[in-house]
Amino acid sequence: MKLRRHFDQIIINIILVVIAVFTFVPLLTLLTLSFKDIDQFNNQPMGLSFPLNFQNYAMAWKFMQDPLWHNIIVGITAPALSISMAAITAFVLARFNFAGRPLLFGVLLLSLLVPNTILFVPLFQLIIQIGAQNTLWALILPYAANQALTIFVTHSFYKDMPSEMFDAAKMDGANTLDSFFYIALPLSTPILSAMAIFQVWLIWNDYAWPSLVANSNEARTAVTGLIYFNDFSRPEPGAGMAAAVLAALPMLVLFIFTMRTFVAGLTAGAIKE
Amino acid sequence: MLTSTHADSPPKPPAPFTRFARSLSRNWQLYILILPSLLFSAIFFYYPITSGFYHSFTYWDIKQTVWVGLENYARLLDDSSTPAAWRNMAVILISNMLIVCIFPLFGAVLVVRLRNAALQYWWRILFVLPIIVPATVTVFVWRWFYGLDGGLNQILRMINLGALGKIWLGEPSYALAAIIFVGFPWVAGLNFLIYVAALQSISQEILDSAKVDGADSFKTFFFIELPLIRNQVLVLITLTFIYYLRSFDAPLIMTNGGPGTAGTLVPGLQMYRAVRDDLDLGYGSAIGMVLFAATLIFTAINFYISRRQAKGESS
Amino acid sequence: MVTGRKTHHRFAVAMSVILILVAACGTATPTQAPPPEATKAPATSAAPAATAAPAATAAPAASPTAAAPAKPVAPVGTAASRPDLKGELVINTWRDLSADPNSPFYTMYLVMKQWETNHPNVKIKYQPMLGTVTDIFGFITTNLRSKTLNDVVMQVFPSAAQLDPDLQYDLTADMAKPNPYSTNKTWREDFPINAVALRDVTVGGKVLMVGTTYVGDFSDTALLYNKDLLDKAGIKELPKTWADFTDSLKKLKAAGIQPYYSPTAGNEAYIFTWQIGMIGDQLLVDSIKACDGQVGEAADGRISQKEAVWCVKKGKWSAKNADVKALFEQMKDFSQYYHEGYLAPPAPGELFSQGKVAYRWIVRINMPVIENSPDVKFKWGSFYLPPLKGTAGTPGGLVHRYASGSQGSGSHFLFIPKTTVEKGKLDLALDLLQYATSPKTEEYWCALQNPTCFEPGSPVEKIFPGNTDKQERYRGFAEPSAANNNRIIGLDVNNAFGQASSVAETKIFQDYFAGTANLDQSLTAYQKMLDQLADNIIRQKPEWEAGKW
Repeated sequence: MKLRRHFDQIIINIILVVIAVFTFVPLLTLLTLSFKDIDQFNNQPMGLSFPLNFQNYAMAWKFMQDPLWHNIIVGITAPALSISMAAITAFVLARFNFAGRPLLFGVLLLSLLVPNTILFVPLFQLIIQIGAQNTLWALILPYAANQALTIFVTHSFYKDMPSEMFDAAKMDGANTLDSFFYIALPLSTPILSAMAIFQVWLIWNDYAWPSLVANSNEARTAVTGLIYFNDFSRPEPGAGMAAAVLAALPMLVLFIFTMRTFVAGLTAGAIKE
Repeated sequence: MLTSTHADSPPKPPAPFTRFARSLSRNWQLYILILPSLLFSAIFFYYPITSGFYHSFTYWDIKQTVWVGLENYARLLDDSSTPAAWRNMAVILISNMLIVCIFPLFGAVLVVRLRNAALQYWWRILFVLPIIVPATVTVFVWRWFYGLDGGLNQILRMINLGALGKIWLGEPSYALAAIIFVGFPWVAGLNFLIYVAALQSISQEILDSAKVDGADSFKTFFFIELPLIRNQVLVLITLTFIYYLRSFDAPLIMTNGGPGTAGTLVPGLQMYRAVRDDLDLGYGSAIGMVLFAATLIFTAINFYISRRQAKGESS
Repeated sequence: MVTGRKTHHRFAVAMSVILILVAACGTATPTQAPPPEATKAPATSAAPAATAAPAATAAPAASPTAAAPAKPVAPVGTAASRPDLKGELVINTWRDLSADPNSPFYTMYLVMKQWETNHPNVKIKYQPMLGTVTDIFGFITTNLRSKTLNDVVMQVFPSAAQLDPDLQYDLTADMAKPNPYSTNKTWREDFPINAVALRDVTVGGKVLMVGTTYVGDFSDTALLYNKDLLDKAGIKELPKTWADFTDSLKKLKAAGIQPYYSPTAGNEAYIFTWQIGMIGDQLLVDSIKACDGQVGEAADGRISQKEAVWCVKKGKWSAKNADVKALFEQMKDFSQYYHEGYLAPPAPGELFSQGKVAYRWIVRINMPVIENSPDVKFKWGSFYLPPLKGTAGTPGGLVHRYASGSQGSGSHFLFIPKTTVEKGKLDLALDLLQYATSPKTEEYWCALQNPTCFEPGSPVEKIFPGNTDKQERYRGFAEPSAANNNRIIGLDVNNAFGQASSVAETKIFQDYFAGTANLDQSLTAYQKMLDQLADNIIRQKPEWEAGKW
């Protein structure tokens, strides 16, 4: 009996290994290709070939450093703007009663129903109108406008907070902002950072929008930079692969440092959306 | 003075407008606090969507706007690549909805069945890890995989099936399948994570009592676990649907909608190309509006079904 | 809650780590490689570039310093016309001009650099336009309309469809005045060969761009062949007629060799659209005749955008015409010899230089890509697409070329968007344009070309004396001589409606080649596309009063 149970476990592990091999072959191939010079790339693309060619990374880095930097700027400012506005809004909507509250709540959440691709064309025109094309603002502003999900999630969180906490503070003479900053905000940091990570992830993944409005040295993002780096004649195909590795690397760092929040953020973000 | 929700309840509601004016004068600080959100929403959501709707009836190329009535919509209907684009999208949608029900769930069940907690943890981490790879990078790698000397043909040559090799993205009959095949075996990622979380939340008591009743692993899955995580499956199907309704990164990067006018074209890409290649924003807006309508219809159906199910469960 | 807060801090830590990492790496590697100094050039700089080592032994193009000495780098001795100019001039460039010293683009970079040196108070900032050829044309059009182009734009091969007098600064008045960098009476006189460089960038009498002039007799495009592969297939002579050409393609295919590299997607898809132009020129002769010189345009053998639109509207350029049908059939016949997977964007790695295809078509300014490729380990040279009728090199067999058929095209063009005038930077921009096209700079530019400018009509043997490798590689650009070359800017989508529009055209051809659409369906789609493009242009040009046609 015991042997059979062990046997089950071994079979499961074997199947998982097979799945893992199929899952990781493309990614590992990317990694190995990024160390190949042109001869190795053309003649033995699979597996490692020696000597490893680190020159590829130097070439890729030269092109990718600005795009990566842009991603980091946008990845910090846009979620920061979006989350701070959304948190205050959600707090006010959840904790106070005033005329037009349900209406405003609905107005702010309606965009959850509309996939942003549909806004693509008019947003493009808007970005042109305000002269933001090919600047980082073309990314920061629309991304910062992505607040509905955070409002929705934090609204229910703030609503469920016991009102005694706020009543006590009010007795002590705290105003709206005080009770937000000293009571609500500290308690909601986990949920807010989860939402922030979800937004960073979305921004890092976005290709179509930046490739349309941020096609300049001042604004190109990592994944669009990767495609541009590859899609015209270059002498070293391996360097193109190295650029892909570089484009994914910062997310790995973020993941390692914030694993729990990262996972929580993506799960919450994906399900609620 | 600000009024807290729980503090007071007005005795009788005055006329809406007076009530609003009074609330405004009393609670102006609150309105100011939510003003930034409202402004962003107005500028980056309500304005574009109105503008998109209006401009879908115009010829629009940044330089000028000319009212053309329903011409853009007529052109969309008349365009021979439109039905193909919607057909391609349907194929992508249906296959991905099937994929999301089978592969990540299978992986999740396997991992949950592991009894060694440490092993389970590391397998979970391993299969979650690929979410950090931006979709564009994945698509980029697979584009190389599908090339003449790309990974797929190399593997085929290794196992002596080199004759089957082809330029996968250059064949009208394979290109769409190749795009769907990206990410095989589709286990790792967010879907896997959600399934694992759902499966692990099933109480051990239920599973133990099933075991006492003599249910084997398969029976446990189909008669106990699957019904309990049905909601997550449905949510993931809905999410997949919405995602592929709007996503066109893979065809854009791998084939630009080709080969031919409609090989891997989807409506989102049709819209994108109207903007990028032709600077025909009016036509692009019309495609966007049709996509919007499709989303609304789907959301309504989805809402109706879940309502009916909720009713069925409660009765 | 506690764990939650901890992870929150971890997030902050992670972000700062990323920040620090990037900042650290950013300082370690400077953003821009130090620009190669013109003065570092060896004393032998006057020697023609022809002495460059054979490509097989040359260092990879990736290392800029290795190949640099091959270029003659002479200082430009023209003083600043207005040393008082100051400010910053931002230039949109065709990709990164400074990236590769072997590239012909590099000369333009050196010219701009020199202009900057001449004006101590002026700073140039480069803003490379990246992506596929189609992407870049799309970028220029979109940003010109949305007024987000920078102060000066440098591009190659402008199409008639790009010219927009509403948005581009009109240089006509300045052309009639003297160029401060020159002793000629007018700026226009500075342009060699009867200002041929201005011919394709003038619309309705307005000069909207200026271009460099390649004095010589070279064409912009040619066909490369891999001698080893031709030998293998038993092809002894380069084809001079279309029948010979098809025959050679057949032989190559029979020998299991991929005959012809012609991607219809990806960065080099323009090769295919240009070929439609070259073959279309020979087939649509009657239609072109019927369209040329209409609606008040000059009958100059070149079809302007206005003529093309008129033609579509009047049904003179129509899928119903037998010649358009013939074009489709001709291209399909040709396509059976294209390389494997020509319907998909090509994978990284250039097929011709790897010795995997026998022929490929190339634009002259891209020759260094092949010449400097470490992959090329075979004998190769160039010829040209034989005419459909007659024998190439004889009066009965004019060779049809894309872009400028022969002498004159320097390929590099500069223009000023009107927004520059509004920004108050016209002085700077104009000064740069005048400097870049002054006779002295022209001389310098010519000296740096590969090969240097030469007496029109010279045979390759005279252009590259003693260097048989180079002679073979450039023979296809020099022969047949100008008299037997022809390039009428005819009825083709790329020319009339722009490179970006030709994406749609290519896709229609792809459907026909792959068999997913038959000829009738393809022609219907083609007609629909023409109608739509023409309608859109008419809406953009209310001044044409197309309603009255």
